[in-house]
Amino acid sequence: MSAGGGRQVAFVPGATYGGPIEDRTTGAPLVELRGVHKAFGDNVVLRDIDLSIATGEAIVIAGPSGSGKSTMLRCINGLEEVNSGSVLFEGAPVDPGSKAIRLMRADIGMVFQQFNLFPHKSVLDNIVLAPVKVKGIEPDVARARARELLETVGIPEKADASPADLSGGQQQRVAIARALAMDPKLMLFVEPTSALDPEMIREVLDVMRELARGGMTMAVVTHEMGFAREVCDRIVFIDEGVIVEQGPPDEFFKAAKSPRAREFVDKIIHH
Amino acid sequence: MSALFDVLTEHLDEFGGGLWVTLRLVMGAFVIAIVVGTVVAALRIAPSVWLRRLGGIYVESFRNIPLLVLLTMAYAGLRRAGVPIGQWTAGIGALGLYTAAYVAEVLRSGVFAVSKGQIEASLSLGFSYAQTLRRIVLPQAFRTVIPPLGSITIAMIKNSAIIGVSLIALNDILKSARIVQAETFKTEEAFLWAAVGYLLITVTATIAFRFLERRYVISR
Amino acid sequence: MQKLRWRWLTALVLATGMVAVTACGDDDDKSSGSSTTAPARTFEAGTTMKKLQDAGTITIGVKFEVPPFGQKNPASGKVEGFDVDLGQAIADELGVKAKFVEALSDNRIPFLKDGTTDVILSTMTITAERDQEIDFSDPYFVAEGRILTKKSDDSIKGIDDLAGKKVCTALGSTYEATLKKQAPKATVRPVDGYSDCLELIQNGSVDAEATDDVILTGQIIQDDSLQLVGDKLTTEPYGAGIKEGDTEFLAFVNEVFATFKSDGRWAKSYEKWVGQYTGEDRDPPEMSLKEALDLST
Repeated sequence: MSAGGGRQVAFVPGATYGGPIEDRTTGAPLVELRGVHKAFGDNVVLRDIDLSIATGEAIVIAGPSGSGKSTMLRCINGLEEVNSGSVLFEGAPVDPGSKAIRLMRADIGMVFQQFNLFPHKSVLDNIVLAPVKVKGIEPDVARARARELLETVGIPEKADASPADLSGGQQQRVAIARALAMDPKLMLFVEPTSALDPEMIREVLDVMRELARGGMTMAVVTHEMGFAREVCDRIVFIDEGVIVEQGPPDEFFKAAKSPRAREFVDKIIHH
Repeated sequence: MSALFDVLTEHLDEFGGGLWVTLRLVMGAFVIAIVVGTVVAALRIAPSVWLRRLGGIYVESFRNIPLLVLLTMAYAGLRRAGVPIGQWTAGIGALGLYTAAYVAEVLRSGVFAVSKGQIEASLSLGFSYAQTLRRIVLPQAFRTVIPPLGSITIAMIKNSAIIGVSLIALNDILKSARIVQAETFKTEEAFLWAAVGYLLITVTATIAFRFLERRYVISR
Repeated sequence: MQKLRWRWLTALVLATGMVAVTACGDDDDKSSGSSTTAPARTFEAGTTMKKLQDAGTITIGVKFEVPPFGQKNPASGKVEGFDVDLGQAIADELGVKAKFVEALSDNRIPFLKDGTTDVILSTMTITAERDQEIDFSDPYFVAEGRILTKKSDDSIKGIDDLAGKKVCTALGSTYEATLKKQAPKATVRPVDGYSDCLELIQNGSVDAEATDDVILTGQIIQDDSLQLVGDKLTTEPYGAGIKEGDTEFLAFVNEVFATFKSDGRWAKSYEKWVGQYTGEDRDPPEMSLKEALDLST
């Protein structure tokens, strides 16, 4: 079957993806960044970042290249250690050196620009590995769930294929399925379509859109402003390591307050 | 032609014995090389500077001393020092430890060939560092190093011929051929059969590694 | 073939050892003596003698590690010994330079056959088997086969005690066959050269060494914790090896040897290399080639 876009992606209703589409931003923040500072040597990447993400919320982090967007997501699951300030997940500090970090990471799915599928495992084994080895789920149960997820992302027939035999778009959809297999409370997308050929971008965005509609809490770093405008609840605009502005997408695109954000929006609209 | 085969049939015991001795030497040395090589590779990528340094010292000393010197030290040297080491232990040990240095370097490069993204993907799924090393990094490292490991093994098989020449003087393929040659003066024939003996082993090893390669090497 | 010879001194002199490997590996030794001033004899065109004179050099294969006969002097780098004196006598008679190269027990006959060396003088026992491959000169020295052990080891008193013992000898020497015949229950370790045997007996890898008495005497001079035991195993007449069928050259070499024996040079050389250490007088051998060959059959 072709991997074209436009197909309907149906998620299992009522399950792990949160409440109804309307009014899904409820309760205490799932993620909170307080005064986060991050530098690589002399290069300061994040300055005094305060940000919270509510359960059920889908945010897009936008900004020029090298503005610290990806680093911010990597601090949320502890792939980077912050220099000062704190990152909280479900109210608990995210500390890369702690033992609790593994449990937190098991609850936070991450999708990378380069897919990072395990090349020595089949597609199905890529999805099954962590649920079985990290969460201790029965292999049969995990496999059944993995097949469901492959169905959801539209490539059930690729279960036994090797990642190398898949197109980029297919690999990224497997990567999303792999993250979802852990039943995460939060999904982080780090430029998920930047490494894809244009014709494959849509199939990945379709999956992400359905995921957001299903109520998944997600933070997405992307340059796909069409996706941002259509899908997310809030846009967070970062430049030079500082959150310059944030708000609902309509407001952001129509009437950004700061000159830098307006400049950014103008560039996108005119290109 | 018949003279050629006569040398073989009349000295089948010597040649067969030599083949068996060389086989045992290289199989023993291979096991040591893989086991010790893996341990040293692990030291070379360990988080501690001192462990890395220890692994580095191992690799540099064993790679930079000629095998013949190692063999002599392992046998005559240890015996002079009062260690009653046998021919087999000294021969297999020295060849294995020497080859391990090369195995360690190849494995280390294999580990570095595994992208950082693989490690991050694994950690982000909740795997520990140890699990990541064992389930994600090492299996991939081993797969990428199958071809160079094959070359090292072939080199090791050929290097084993020095054992018979050294003081250890086990009657391996080359030594057996030299015994036959000394007895019959049929130099060309004796060494030709020695070459055939080594080819038997190296070609078998090559086929085995090709099989592993086809089976396990991953395309990226 | 490998010519790497490495002699274990101590682990501490590794570096020195490595130099020795290279040094022994390819030896370009200049003639160890100068040519005689006497005008060179002239030979018929086509003879080996004439060819050697035209070339100006004769290449002689000798042992480099068998002290009384052929040894590379570690200090001077020159090869010296009884065999070397004989080789020099041949070179002098031709009026050419002598070039000495190392010939091990197992490569000396191939060296002769492939032309690497013109003559072999490397403590080589005359045997009928070898006579099939090359030609021998008349015997120039008669050695005896003996057994060497550590003085501290009193379990070996003769050939019969070698059963179950490890015995070292040189690969390609006559002693492989001798031991197989006279001590079939001994484990024979054939090694590259007698210096290897010396190491192996010193470090306890083998219990005994079997070879010519003069070679063993050389080792006792180096290490007086060793001793000769038992009666003589064999008689080992040494002959020079020459390429098969070169009768003119063979006759020439025999003539040089005959003069060497009769004009007192043999006795002088013997005293210098052997006699002064053993305190034993010997006359030049009068054994004929035929008698020598008969011994081995």
